[in-house]
Amino acid sequence: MKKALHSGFTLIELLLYTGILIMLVAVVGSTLLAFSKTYRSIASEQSIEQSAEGILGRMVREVRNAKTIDSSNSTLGTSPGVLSLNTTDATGNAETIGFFITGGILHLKKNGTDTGPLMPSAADVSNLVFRSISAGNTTAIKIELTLESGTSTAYRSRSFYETAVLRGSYLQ
Amino acid sequence: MSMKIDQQAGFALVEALVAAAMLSTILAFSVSAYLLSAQIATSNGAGVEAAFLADEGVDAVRVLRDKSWSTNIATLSVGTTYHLAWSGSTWNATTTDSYIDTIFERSFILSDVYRDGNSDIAASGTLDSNTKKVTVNVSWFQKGATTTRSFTVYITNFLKN
Repeated sequence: MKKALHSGFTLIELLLYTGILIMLVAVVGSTLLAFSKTYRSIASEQSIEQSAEGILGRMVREVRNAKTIDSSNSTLGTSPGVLSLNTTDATGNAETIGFFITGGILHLKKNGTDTGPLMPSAADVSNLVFRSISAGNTTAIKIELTLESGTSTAYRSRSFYETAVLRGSYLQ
Repeated sequence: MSMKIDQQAGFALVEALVAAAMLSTILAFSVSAYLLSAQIATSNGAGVEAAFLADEGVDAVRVLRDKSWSTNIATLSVGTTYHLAWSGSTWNATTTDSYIDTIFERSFILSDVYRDGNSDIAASGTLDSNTKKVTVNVSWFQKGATTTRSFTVYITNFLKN
């Protein structure tokens, strides 16, 4: 009698603990899943922000430093755009600076030589348009840039817009 | 003896339940904290977009200035809110509001500039009609509140146009 009672309790206990364990595993599992989902979203958001700051920061600086647009080597008005600028280097020598896309990644070109990417490979440029603005004696460039990163629920896409006047064009 | 064992078994169950409850509570709090930090980390994306839009606004006003101070800047009313419209080839000032990507609202306001006896910019003095203060604002609605990025610059009629 005593023994039977004892073994019965153990079975119920076993079932209860198993039930609790399953519940806990489910809770921990879904938590980990939510963590990884959020992490991937943050990762895509950050790679877009880093790319945008890297690309537009450099582009605006180079445009402001430039004298004229090298129209024959530029693709204006359509995506993927190519921008080539006639500028001067730190020692005052003439130099051409170019921005172009290869495999969804934006690269910088100096005097016709590819100097490498301006963004992490985790993001892609899905739209890039350069427009030339004629403002009397001076010239400005309008830049439209759309970046995307991640897949499924972590997919992010953001559009950035900039306009910069070629400061060198004031001296012409 | 059997009483003792039963009691012990009961204690173990309560312990297990308490442990599970504690673990769940800790998890719930850490998850909500993590999600909050994740939200904060991802909410900056719109701020980056807005900062570039505000910077674009400043140079768009410079484009207006470069084309002609007398027709593009001098004709605008001081203190009036203007917006920038893209015509397809250049920027124009307009009083018609429009949203960029249906999220961002960009405007600019011109203010008069006064100069003191040393020709320095001062709060009062002689009105300098060839200098204006430009404030570009970019606002957007996010998580129940409006956020604004604001850039201020001075532009001068140095091209005398």
